[in-house]
Amino acid sequence: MIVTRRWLEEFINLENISTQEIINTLNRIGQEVEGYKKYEIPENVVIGKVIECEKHPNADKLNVCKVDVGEEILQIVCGASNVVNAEYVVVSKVGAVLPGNFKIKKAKLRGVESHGMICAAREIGLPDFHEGIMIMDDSLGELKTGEYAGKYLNDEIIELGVTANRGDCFSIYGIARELSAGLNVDMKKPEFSYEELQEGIGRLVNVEKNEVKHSSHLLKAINGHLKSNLKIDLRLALCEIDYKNEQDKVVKYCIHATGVLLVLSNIGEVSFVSEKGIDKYITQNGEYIVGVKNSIELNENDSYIINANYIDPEYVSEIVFINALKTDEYFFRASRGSEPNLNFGINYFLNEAKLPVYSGSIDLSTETPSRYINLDIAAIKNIIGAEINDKEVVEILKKLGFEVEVLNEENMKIKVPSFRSDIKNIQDVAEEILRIYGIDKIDSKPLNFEETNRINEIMEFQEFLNRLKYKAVSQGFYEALHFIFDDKERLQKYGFEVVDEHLDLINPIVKELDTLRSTLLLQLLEDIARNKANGYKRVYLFTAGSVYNKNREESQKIAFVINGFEDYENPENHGKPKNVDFKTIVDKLSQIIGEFTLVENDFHPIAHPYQNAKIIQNGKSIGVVAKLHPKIAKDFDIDDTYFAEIELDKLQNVTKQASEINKFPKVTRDLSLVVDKNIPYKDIYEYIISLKICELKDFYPIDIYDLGENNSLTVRFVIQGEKTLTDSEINAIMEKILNQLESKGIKLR
Amino acid sequence: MDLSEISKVLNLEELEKIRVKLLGKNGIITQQFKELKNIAPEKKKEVAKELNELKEKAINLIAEKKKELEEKLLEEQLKKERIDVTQFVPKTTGAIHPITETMNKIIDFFTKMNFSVETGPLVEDDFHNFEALNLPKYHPARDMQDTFYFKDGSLLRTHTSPVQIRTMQKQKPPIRMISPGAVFRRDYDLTHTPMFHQVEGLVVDEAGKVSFANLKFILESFLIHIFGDVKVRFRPSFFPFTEPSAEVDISCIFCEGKGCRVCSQTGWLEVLGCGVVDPNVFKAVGYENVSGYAFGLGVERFAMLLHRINDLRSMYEGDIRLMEQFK
Repeated sequence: MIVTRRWLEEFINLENISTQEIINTLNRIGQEVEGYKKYEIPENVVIGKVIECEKHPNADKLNVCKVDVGEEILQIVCGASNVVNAEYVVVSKVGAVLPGNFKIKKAKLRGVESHGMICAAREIGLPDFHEGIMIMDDSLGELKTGEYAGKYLNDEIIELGVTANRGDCFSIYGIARELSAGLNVDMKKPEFSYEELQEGIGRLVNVEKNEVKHSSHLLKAINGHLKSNLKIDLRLALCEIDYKNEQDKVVKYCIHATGVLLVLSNIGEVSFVSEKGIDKYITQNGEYIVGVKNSIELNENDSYIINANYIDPEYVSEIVFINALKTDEYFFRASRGSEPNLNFGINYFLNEAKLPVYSGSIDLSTETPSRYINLDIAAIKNIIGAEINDKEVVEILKKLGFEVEVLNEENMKIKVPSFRSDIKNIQDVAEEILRIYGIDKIDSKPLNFEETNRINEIMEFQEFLNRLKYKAVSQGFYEALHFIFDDKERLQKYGFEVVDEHLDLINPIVKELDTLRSTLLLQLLEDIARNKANGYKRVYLFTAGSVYNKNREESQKIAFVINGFEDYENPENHGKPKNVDFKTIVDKLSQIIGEFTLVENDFHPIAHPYQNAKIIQNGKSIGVVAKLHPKIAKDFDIDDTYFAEIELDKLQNVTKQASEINKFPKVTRDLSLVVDKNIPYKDIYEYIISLKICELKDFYPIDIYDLGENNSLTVRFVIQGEKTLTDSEINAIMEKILNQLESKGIKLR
Repeated sequence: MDLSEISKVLNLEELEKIRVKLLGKNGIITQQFKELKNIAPEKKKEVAKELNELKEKAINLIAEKKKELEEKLLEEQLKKERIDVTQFVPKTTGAIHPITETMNKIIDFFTKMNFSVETGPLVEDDFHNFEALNLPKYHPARDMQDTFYFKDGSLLRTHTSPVQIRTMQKQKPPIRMISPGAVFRRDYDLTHTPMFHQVEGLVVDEAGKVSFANLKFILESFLIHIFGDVKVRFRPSFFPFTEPSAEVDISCIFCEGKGCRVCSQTGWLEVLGCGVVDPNVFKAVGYENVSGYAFGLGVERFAMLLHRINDLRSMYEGDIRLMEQFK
């Protein structure tokens, strides 16, 4: 919503009030100023009168003009074709400096001297709203040759972010009314004049049907060809208002000025019908669905009916929603609350139209019932949290157009002005008082409340997740964040679970984000590719977030990917660090989520089939760790990559219990075994564990090498007793282990 | 006897030789002790005394020298172990995402002020996301939030406010909560992403207790905690779920309020929306005789301001060029 200072001045006296003060006031009272621009015509740009215009002797497209600029008559060569019919124009005299540091100098054009330039609006810094040169008229004041053009054309625009509840502020008049309250300056009494014809409207306009039920209408008729003028053209351009044709310019101008919905049609029969709760105004030029959409196309006929109308904003919003009606800018205004003062809208239009008006009107307006609110003053003060004195409350409300009746010390009854459809309850009134009184004047006050233990599971989970994240960071991982969307086709292609069709998104933003993701991994793989392209040779990333199954049930996962160098390039590795491998991801992961064991995983959509493991922690399968299948790596244009994806709700945040520290010496013994390649270490582990030797504190593989059919596997055992163990006691333990293994066909090497 | 050769010794081996020469089994001093028996008794005592003094002196000199030589030897050894410490240029990697970091900072403030943290589903229904928040189906303010819908009529929440509705439905007042999390709007350009993060807050207590002035207090404290020494300005505004409503600005942290590109020459940066809870919201959850305030903020905006990040989209691409600046 754009307003101009000069347009505002039609309705309110802003003399001695700077535009900065206007901006500050608007911001203070809740009309957010989103932009400001000053249009100032350069010096030495004046009003000129073209007194002679002849073809240039040496150039078809140029004209040589004699232009009266007050104190002298200048010869100016002009290239615009519309100069031929021009009377008053804008002349940049020699010495003027136009925008873009364009200096006007005496010049010779094809042998003819030119002392200045006849200008277009854009050449003197105004919006570009016409062809050729700008033709001046007296719509912006009586023209005087030689006068500084800025006297007519200078203006300042303020762009406002009017909120959706304030339909009354979508007009110059509405903003002037706000300023009147904010600045405590009275509104001007608008003066309208037009020539009235003897002939009455009833003889020209026949109302065929009159069935409107939900809207008010006021019709007048005018005679003649409706034309725009410079003031209208310039202000529509300054306020960035679109229009369809010459007549529409005048209508849009008056709507923007007054906020009243105005509809123009040619003189003829009209009908008001109401179908399924939808009011329609039907003319011979087409129909207007009241407050919804105007499809009237004017014809060449030179007499018009102007219809000022109003419909309740909530009512029109509801019928549009229920009937899924197509809408245009009329609905934008109507649904937010247009100006209900139809007389004001009509009179403003007739004044601007400058055409004779048929006498009388067709008045189909119904008085909307006034809204009254009983105000408990103490409640207002409680909402705001400050002592505002009652007199001030009354003054503010009156300034805003409320009628106030003080009932007693605690209560008053107020009548809401008809243009404030948004004011319904005491809190709405509190807001009005607060914004005009000034939020700045309200002292901040701490709230007294009863302390309560508000720590809950959510907070504990978030802290747990944060600790995981910081551990991942200390292992060299960067945290990535992604949208929860993914490409359904891609998820399906790789065999990931997808949200069932009947539960999926209706209106995705792009195809690549057309469903909810079921894995965090694909987005991480894309990240790897991007970082590789940016020259990173070591990419460690993790992310945590929501994923969805086919029933669209939400769960939380955390995923890790590693690619490229295991370490950074340094003298120790001669600039050639080894690449990450399965051990790297397993080690990093256990540093982050704690110790776990791995078992072979049968299937994962994007895993290498033989480097693919389930992660087992506290006896539960919590996720997967694997090498990325080389085919998929190729799809993503990346090389060897390892990943892990873990279900967060399966990770346990347990309070660890300490046992007494064993002070006796620890002894280690190694066993080198010959093991069939098909026997996983997990089996050997289970064989030994099943012995339940309490002195065996730990054991783990320390060396594996290939013997052909078999592997040589060396396992280290850590033994510690509740006393210092003798050699024979230790040997007995080792014997027991060896016997168990031999019984399973595993021999000592 | 001349002990000065001890001081001239250059290494431990030579020193040992001298020690043997003087004090060894057949050393000069040892020999002289053996000679004592041949000395006349009247002189014996004096000679013995001199001899003992000499022996003691020799022992001390040797010990001193030994210590000196050992230290020298160690020093030489350590010198050989010298490394160029300046060649170690560790390359750290790993960083928390600035949005997570910022979110944590915001949550920390409010939990320390005795707010609870509540969460809710991202896939919501119309009632919790709109209807209960005084946004009936035909409300023009729904235009403000272009929504993702699912075929079964569910939607992706457009703000974290539905969590407030759910919390009020589950708990009794007083309520003092924040709801951090991801939200979704159908908007994708340089300054909008279809997913972003919010933290919203809600305080509910008995009627007449919670005022706009209380809201001012908590938000001023919060913004000064996050942004440091800034001015805070409240501008009246409109949200369907609060009344009175306000938008909150801080003085521009880039130009200190003088006016710059970031603040569009206004000297102010909009950072928050807030207000006194609209009675229709309480009605929707069946609360009676209560008062409350609510506020909401965009975490991306805070992160971008705090860390001077220009490009919103780079935050969602795991871009190490951005992330490595937060190591």
